[in-house]
Amino acid sequence: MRDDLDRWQQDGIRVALVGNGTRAFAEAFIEDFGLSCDVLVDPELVAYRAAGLRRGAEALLSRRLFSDALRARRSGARQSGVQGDAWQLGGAFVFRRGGELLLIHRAESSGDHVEAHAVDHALEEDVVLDESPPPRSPLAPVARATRDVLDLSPVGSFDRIGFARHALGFDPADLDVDLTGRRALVTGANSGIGYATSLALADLGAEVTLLCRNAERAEAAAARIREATGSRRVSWQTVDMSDLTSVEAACAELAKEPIDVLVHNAGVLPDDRIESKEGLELTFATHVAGPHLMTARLREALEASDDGRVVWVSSGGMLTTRLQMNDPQWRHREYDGVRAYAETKRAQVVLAELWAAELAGSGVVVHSMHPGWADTPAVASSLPRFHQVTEAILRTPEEGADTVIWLAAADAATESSGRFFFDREAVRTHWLPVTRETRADREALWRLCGGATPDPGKAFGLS
Amino acid sequence: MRLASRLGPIALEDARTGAPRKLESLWSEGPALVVFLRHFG
Repeated sequence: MRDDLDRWQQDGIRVALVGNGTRAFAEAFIEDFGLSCDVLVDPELVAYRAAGLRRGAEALLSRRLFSDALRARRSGARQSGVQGDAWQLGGAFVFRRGGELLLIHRAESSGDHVEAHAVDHALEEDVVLDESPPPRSPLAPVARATRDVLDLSPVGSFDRIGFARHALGFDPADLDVDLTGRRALVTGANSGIGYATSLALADLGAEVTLLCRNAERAEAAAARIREATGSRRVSWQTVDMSDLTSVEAACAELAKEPIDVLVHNAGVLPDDRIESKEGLELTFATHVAGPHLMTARLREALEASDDGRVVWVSSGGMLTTRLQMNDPQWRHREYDGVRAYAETKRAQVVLAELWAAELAGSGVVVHSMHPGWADTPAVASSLPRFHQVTEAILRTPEEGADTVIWLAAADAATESSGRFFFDREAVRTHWLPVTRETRADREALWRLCGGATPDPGKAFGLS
Repeated sequence: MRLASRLGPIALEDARTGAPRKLESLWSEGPALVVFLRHFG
């Protein structure tokens, strides 16, 4: 291939290699192969994702893997190890001047490389291609059919193995959408799943506002997204989701224009019982009171959209937890931060169902989801032991965010409302009968939150 | 959405200079072959 690269460059073709490792890897790569073409690095896989390149188990599965490796070794090539993302597959594209496509090659497996004669042929024929999205994986029916059985254990489903398996069933066409003209708000957007969601939505063309507690981190995240996507429609606003006054103030500004997507992602997991400014237990304030108040205050702006969507980012940890309406703010119980987190994440799922019913017929759909076990700064700092033990199998923030992005962007997500999603599929909200809440508890939660028009002086147990 | 529209505004780091390079610059002057490697190495 090296000789072909030189030949194409001599013929006036601009040749660029994109790799997903770091710049240090790329520099060594350039030196090892004596390359003169452009070499670009994409450690966050932004361009890989935009190009629709596969990432998953196929990267490690190939009928030709061993024969290719043997052939490469016989020819003198030596590979010291994967320097980058082992799950990522590559591809090649030939563009005409101006960007029309002459060749698309998306690798189906690790040994699937573009052939030099295919590039030559595309350049010679100069036939512009129809740009339809990549097809589903041929393994999609198997992945979908086996999902219920293989998902019985969190290990192998909540982790990166589970994402790779579930992703085989995804339809790449679902996210082949143009969100230009749509406005999205994402809370907790400066890192982890919130950042990955904001980046992807901006990448798809949406105007994105990052809602964060810290102005400096918000600006830094917005700047990174602007640089990565080239979008100028990325802004930020400070809001503390645990502070009802802050939520009110932010909503007064945000509600001035129609809102198409609202993602409730901000989260906290304190070790000790902490009270918010208004005296609410912090996880309850951040996960329940703040998002509920924001949904209520932005309701009209969401209804003004012709395709409004609200996404509650819950947690798989809530699956073994019952809705707690007896002392939901831990005033009379010995505080357990992990349990408080799970209880409020359960409340989010119930609230998503209640808001879906409230907004039925308005054109706004409301869903909740759980991201699986993702390697985010919040997990590393709040659950250091869990992070240490599971680090090797944790999903990337982008994988954790995938279903949030899908719920925010894909047409298929509007076919229902009030469902709980995991890896792009609606899944059950209870694994055990004991976690099922009563209708009285659901009504009590809605009343506690002040219903559809909460009065912050009285709602959330503040009266 | 055309691939060039999606990829074009993305700025990646040039491995030699460290400078950000928008992908659309690759095909602005003439034809371009853009190869996404599975990995470096």
